[in-house]
Amino acid sequence: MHAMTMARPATTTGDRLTFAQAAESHLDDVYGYLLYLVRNHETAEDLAGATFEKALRLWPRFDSRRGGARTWLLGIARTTALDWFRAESRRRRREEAAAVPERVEESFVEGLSPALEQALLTLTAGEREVIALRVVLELDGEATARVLGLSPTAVSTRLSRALKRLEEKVSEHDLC
Amino acid sequence: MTSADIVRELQAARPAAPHALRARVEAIATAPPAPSTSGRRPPFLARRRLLLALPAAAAVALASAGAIGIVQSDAPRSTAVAEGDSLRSSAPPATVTGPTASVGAEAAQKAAGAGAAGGTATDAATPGPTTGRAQRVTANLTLQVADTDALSQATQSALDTARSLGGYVVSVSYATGEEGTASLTLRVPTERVQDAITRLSGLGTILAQQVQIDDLQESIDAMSRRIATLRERIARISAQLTDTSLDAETRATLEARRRAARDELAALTTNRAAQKAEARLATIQLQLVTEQAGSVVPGSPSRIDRAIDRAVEVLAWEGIAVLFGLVVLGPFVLLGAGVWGVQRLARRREHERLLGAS
Repeated sequence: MHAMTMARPATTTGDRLTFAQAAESHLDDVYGYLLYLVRNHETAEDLAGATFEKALRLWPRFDSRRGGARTWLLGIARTTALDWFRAESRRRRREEAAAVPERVEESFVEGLSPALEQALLTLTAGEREVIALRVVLELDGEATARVLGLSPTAVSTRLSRALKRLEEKVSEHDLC
Repeated sequence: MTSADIVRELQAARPAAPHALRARVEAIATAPPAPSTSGRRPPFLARRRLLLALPAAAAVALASAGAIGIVQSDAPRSTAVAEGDSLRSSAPPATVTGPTASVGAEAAQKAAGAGAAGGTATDAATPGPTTGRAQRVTANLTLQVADTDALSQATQSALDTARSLGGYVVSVSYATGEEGTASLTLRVPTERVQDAITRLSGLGTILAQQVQIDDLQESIDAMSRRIATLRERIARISAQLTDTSLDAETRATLEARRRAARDELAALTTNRAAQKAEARLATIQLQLVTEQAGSVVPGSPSRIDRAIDRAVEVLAWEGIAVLFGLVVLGPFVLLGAGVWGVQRLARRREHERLLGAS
């Protein structure tokens, strides 16, 4: 994990958390979440940068009593990612005839076994994001539900299905 | 590989942001914040303000109702004095030309501090019969006297008054006990009824007064015309009957007509005489009560009571206004909520589609 030292905080409000502190604390989480969603390092970096730009603009509206900075930043990251998915969807439709290959990296997470990495590639973005939030970033059910705009029960169901599917895919890969 | 193994492996390989991104975010975080151009309030602030605004509005409504109640409690809107004034202002002119005129008053002059001055007010308030016209005058008067001694004296004075004015007593009902009452029915010459009411009013404090005048002149005039016609008809038939050449059948028919005319004439004459007699004398129903019995008249409400009443009235109007607003705006609010719900659902489905396809 890299260390980050911010020169000065963008917003100073006494003892309250500053944007620089929040960015420093949760940059890895935002990046990791986006990487799982888009499966591409470069895109994840771009989207993470865009997320923090947007978050800086919205920082005066942040209310720590309504949830932690991590949940708030992940919510913005999700919106940014959805915008990207929407744009990608339009682009794919336009360029379908040209058969432009999807920018998906075979190994988008370092340190994973090939079987698990291959299995992750077969999941949908919706399944990957719930795994990223609940398993990789270890968010609790309430926080995950807040980020995804779902009920905690729905999050639990979605996670259970995603893990089951992942397990099946890994087993299939092992058998091959 | 089990789910637990997968979870362990995923957590062990948690991605970290690369240096380039870290530097970029550092630059973003240390840049001066751009001024907000939207000017839009955060939604949670708007909701918080709404939560504050609702009790504040309720407090303002209560305070304004209380303030209005206190300010307007200085001027009672329906006191005994005001009713006494309305008695004067609503009294018709002395000449009553309509078939019926009626004046009623609830006067609690004791509460208003007017005391025995009520008799003076009656002079101006009581409509008098029109001179030269036959009118049925009926007056109801309720007076309050101090005690049973005063009741006895007032009853005797009322009887004397009726007699002195050329009238008479139709009935007297007198009862004493804890609360004394006396009911008198007096008849006095119509032209002196105003004088009678004035004098009777002086016997105590007026609690209630009603004077009704029914014009009988029109009816009497109609009967007089009919009587004249009948007399002419009888005279004409009588002249015809002097003719000796009439056959028996014609004579019988004429005699039957004359008999019917005479019967009708007799009835009309009697009726007209009765109406004239009725018009000659006015009827006065006098009710005398002691103070205890007269306590049925409610006292003037205190300033606090008036303030509370007025405040409640203002609150009721405020409630009506709020209800009206809700009724008018309710459909729009529901429509807006419906549109918002549909948009939210559509957005969520779009997100599901986007994330499911990637």
